[in-house]
Amino acid sequence: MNETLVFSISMICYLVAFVLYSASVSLDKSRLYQIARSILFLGTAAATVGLGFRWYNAGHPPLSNMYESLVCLSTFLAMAGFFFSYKRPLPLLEAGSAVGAVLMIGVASLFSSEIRPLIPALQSYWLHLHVSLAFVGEACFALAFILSYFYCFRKLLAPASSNEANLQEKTLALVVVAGLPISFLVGMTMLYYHLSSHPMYKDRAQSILWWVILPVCLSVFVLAVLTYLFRGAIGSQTEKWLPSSQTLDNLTYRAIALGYPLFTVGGLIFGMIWANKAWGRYWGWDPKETWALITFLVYSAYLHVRLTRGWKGTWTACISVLGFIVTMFTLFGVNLLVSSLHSYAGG
Amino acid sequence: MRTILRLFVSLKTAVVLICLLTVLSMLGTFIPQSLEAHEYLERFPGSGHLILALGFDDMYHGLAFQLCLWFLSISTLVCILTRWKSTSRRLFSRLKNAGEKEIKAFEVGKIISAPSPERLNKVFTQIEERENGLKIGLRTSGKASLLGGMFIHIGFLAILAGGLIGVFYGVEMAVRGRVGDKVAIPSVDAVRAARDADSLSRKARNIRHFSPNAAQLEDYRVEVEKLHKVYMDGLASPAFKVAFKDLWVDHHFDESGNPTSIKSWNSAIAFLQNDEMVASGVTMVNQPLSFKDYTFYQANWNKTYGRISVRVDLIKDKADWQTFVTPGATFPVTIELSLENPASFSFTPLKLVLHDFMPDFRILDGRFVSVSHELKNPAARIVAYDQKGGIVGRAWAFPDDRIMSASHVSNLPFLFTFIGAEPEFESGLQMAYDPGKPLVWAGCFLFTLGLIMGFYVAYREEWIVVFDDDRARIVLTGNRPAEMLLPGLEALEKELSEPAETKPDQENSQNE
Repeated sequence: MNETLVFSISMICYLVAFVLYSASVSLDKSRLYQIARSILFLGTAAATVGLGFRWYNAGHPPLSNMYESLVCLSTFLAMAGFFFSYKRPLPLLEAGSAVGAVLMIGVASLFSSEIRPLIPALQSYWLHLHVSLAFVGEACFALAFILSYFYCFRKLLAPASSNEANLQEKTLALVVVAGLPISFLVGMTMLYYHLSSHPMYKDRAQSILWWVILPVCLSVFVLAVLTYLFRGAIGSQTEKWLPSSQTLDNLTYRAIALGYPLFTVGGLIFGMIWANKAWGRYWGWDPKETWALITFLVYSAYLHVRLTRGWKGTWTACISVLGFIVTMFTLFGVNLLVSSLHSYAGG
Repeated sequence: MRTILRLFVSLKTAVVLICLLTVLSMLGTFIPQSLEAHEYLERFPGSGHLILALGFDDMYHGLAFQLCLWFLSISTLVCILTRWKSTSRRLFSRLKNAGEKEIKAFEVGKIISAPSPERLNKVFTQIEERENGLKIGLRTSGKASLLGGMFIHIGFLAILAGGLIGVFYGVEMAVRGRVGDKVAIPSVDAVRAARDADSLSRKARNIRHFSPNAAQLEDYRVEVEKLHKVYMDGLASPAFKVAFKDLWVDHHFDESGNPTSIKSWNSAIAFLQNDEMVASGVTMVNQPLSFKDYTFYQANWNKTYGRISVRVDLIKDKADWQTFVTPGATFPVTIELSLENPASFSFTPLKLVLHDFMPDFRILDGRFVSVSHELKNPAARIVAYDQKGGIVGRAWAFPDDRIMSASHVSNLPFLFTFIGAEPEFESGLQMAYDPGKPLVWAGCFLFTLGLIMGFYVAYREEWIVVFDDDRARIVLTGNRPAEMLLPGLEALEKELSEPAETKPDQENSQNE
C-alpha cells in the first residue's frame, strides 16, 4: 500500500479536526469537541499506520531524510497534543497541534518521498534512539510554542483596564503575535528566491509560492483584519476560549519540562555517542551539533529563569517562542542553508 | 573575594553566560572557521579584521568562548557547593527545619479534624512535637528528585572537564592507504607534536600577513621545527604499522539484482609490530576498531586511478615533429602511464609523466577539477620532459568521443586518447586518541540520570500540623503543579480519617 495516500488521509483528518475544534470553541458545543477529538485521533492513527508501512517497505525507521522526518515529527506533535489534553480539554491547543501537523506534512511534500536504502553513515541503531527521542522532545517544544503564542495573544487582547498586562508586556506580546507570521513569510520568501535561482529547484519554488506563501499571506491578512475589527468581541471571548494566563504558563512549563530531557538525552547525548562511534569524536562543532547545543542552551535559560528566579509570564513565553524558532532552524535552516556533516538529512 | 563569589553564585551570571555562549555559538556557525587571514579579508572586507582580532576565526577555541566556558564552569561548581547545603537539609532534616508559617504558605492544603494519635503515627513517618504544643508530621516520596539538579550540574562539569582533557591531550589523524600499503603510526606524543606544529604554523601565517617582520615569527619557526622533528622521529620509529589487507564495497541491490547504492565501505586492516601481525579486523562506518592507544574509524573512501592506458597518434602537421619522434617508430601506440612516474618509450626520446588524472573532469571557476571519483568524463594531463629534465610540451588525454581538435589539447606532435584506467580503492581512516572520553561518558551518564530524576520523578511532601484545639492542617507540596496535587490531598484526608487498624488478638478479645 502507498503510504503517501495514508498521510494525505491523516492530513485531511487534521484539517477537519481543526475546523471542528474551532467551531466547538466559538459555538460552545462540547459535542463538536468530542467529534473533533475523534477525528484527530483517527488522523494520528492513520499517520502512525502510514509510518509503519513506510518502515516496513523501506526496512528502516522513517527517520532518514527530510520527508520522513517531517511526517514523523507531525505525528509526534499530534500525539503530544492528545497527551496534553488527556485529562483536561484544551480545544485550541489540540487545534494548534492539528494545524502544526498539517503544516509539517505540507512542507514535507516539498521534499522527495522516494524510499532509498540507508547510506552507510545512518546504518546504526543509534538512528532510532537519537532521532526519534529528539523528535519527541521537539514535538513537546512545538506544543510549548503554541501555548506561549496563545499566552501572548491573550495578553495582547487583555482589556486596558485589567491589570493582566502592562505596556511592556503588551508590546512584547504584539512582537510575538504579529512578528511570527511576518518572519515566517519573510523566511519563506527568502527560501523562494533562493530556490528559484537554481534551475533544479524551480518547481519547488513555485510550490512554495502557491501552496505556502500566498495562502498564508491571505489567511494572515484576513485574520488580522477580522481580529482588529472585532477586537472587543474577541477580547471578551478569549476568556472563554483559552485557559487562564497562569494555566497557559504552567502548561508551557510542563511541555518544556517534558521535552527538555528527551531532547537533551536524544538529541545531544545519544548524538554524541553516535558521533563518537561513526566519526571518532563525540563533538566536532559541526553546525548541526552546534545548533542542537544552542537549542539546549535556550531552553536551559528558560528553565533557569523560571525555576530559580521565578520568572513567569510574557518573558518566559518569549523565551519559549525563541526556543522553538531555534529548534526549527536546527531542523530546517542548518540542513538547507549550512553545509554540515549532517547534510544527508537535507534531502 | 566575597564580591567575586557573589558574582559566581548569582543565577543572573549563569544566565548571562548561557546567553553569551548561545550568541557566540551562533556566530561560529555563520563565520567560516579556520581559514587563512587573507581569506577573511577577501571574503569580509568590512569585518575581516574584526573577526581576526576577536579570534572569531577559531571561535570555539578562541578566548571569548573559552572564557565564557570557564566562567560557566566556575559558576556551576559554586552553584553545586552552595546548593548542596540546602539540598542536604531537605534530604536529611526537612522536618526539623520547617516552620508552621512555611507549611501554611503552601498552596494545596486544608483544615480537617485532627486524626487519632495512632492514625497519625501510622500515616506519618516523621513526627515532631514543638514547644508551642503543635505536632508536625511529614511523609515524603520521590526524594531522588532532589538530587536531580545536583547530578545534572556535576554531569555538566564532568563533560566539560573531559572535553578539556581531550583538547589538551587528545589527538586525531587521518590515515590513508590502498591494498598492500603499510602506514606507519607514530606515538601519541608525535601526533600531538604534529597537531601543535600545524596550529602554530597557522598562527604564524596570520601574523606574517599583517606584520611580516614580527619578532615572534622566528620563535614560532624554531618551535615548529622542533615539533616537526618530534613528529618525524615518531614516523621513523612508529608505535606500530597499519597494513591495508583488503578494501571492498558492499552494495544494495534492486529487484533485478543490479547494484543501486552503497551499503558499506569495508577495510580489512592488520596491526603490525616489527613487521609481524599482532591483531587484525574489519572496520566500516559505525564499526570502529581499537588497537593500543588509538581507535580507527572508517571516515573516507576514494577511488583512485594510479595507472591509465593511452593511445598515441602522431600529428605530422606540427612544426619540427621529427625531433620528438624516434626514427622508424610506428603509430598508433598504446602506452601505460603511472601517476607522477616518468616513463620512457621507444617511439620518442622524451620522458612522459602523467601529472594529473581527473575521472570526472570539469572546469569550475577557471580551475580544472574532478567532481567525482567515477569515470564519467576522464581527463589526463601529460607532460613531456627532455633528457635534461626541461619541459618541452604538455598535452591532455580525453576519450575518443570527447576529443577536441588536437591543437587545443596538445602542443606536442602527439595526440593522446584516453583508453582506460583501472580503479583502485583508497580507504581513509580517522585515527583518534582521547583520554578525556571516559570522563565525558561518566558526565553524560550523570547528566541523563539527573534529568530523569529531576524532571520525571515526582517529589512529594505531605505535611500535617496538629493544633491543640482538635483541628489539623494537611498540606501537600512538591515538584508538580497544584492541580496535580489536589487528588493526593483528598487521598491523604481519607487515609487519616480511616479507623486505626486493630491487631488480630485485640480483635478476638473484643469479640469475646
